[in-house]
Amino acid sequence: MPQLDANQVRVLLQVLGQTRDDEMTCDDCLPYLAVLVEHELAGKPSHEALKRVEDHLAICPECVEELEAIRAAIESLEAAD
Amino acid sequence: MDRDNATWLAELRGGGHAQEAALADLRTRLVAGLSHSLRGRADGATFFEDVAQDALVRILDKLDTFRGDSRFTSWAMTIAVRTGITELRRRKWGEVSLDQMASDEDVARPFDPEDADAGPDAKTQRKAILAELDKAIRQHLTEKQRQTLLAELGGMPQAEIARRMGSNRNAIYKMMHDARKRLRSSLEAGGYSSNEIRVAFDF
Repeated sequence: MPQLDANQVRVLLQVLGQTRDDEMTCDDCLPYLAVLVEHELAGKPSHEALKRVEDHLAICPECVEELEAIRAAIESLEAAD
Repeated sequence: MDRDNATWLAELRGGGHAQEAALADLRTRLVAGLSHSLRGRADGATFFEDVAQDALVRILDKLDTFRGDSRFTSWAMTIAVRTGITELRRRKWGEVSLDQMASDEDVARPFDPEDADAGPDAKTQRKAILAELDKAIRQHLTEKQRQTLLAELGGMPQAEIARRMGSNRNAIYKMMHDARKRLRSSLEAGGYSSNEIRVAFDF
């Protein structure tokens, strides 16, 4: 087993602590990113399905990167409409 | 032209001039959204147009999965953005192999609990947790899970790992979810709960 640096050890242990038995996959999560952004922009409170999305985002930096780009895209479309 | 969700679906499914107009409008919106959200990360307008075209094919293929929880255009944009970012990740990671990701040479400074700014008890606890983690990785993960874990910790996206393994992102996520549960259970069996680990490592 190759050695890990301090940041990798920390990231791994943090992700293990946030691991749930029942998690959404990235594909499960994708359509809800649109819902999440619309809720944010409208100032609506989160609901149960979105809390599961937020749990996924806590351990998935790739979906976080996609969420940020989706947010920028939807905001630009709303501004143009 | 503003359409509600039902109109988008009806026109995109309907064929004829209405479908052509809806496709053209949707393509224009996707290119505009992609150009804004991925600006500075791609090499010109052609990239956004190509991504929008790929995304349109996926969107039409997935129309039956749209449940109406958001605006149709927002849902379509999620598919376009993921298509674009996946392509950018593919370009960034090129032909880097999984073997390269598992090389010790990339670890400039392996983690040493003695380096930490912590008391002797915390250092002892950290060493014990690391030993248990190392044992769990060696004994309880499959070779594919170990390889994927190292690639992920090195920053390689799951879609890129999947491409190298002839798999897909969803399957890799599920495989690593299983790996994380195995590691967590092994640490717990060794007497280290998530809370104890959080305290020992101060995060």
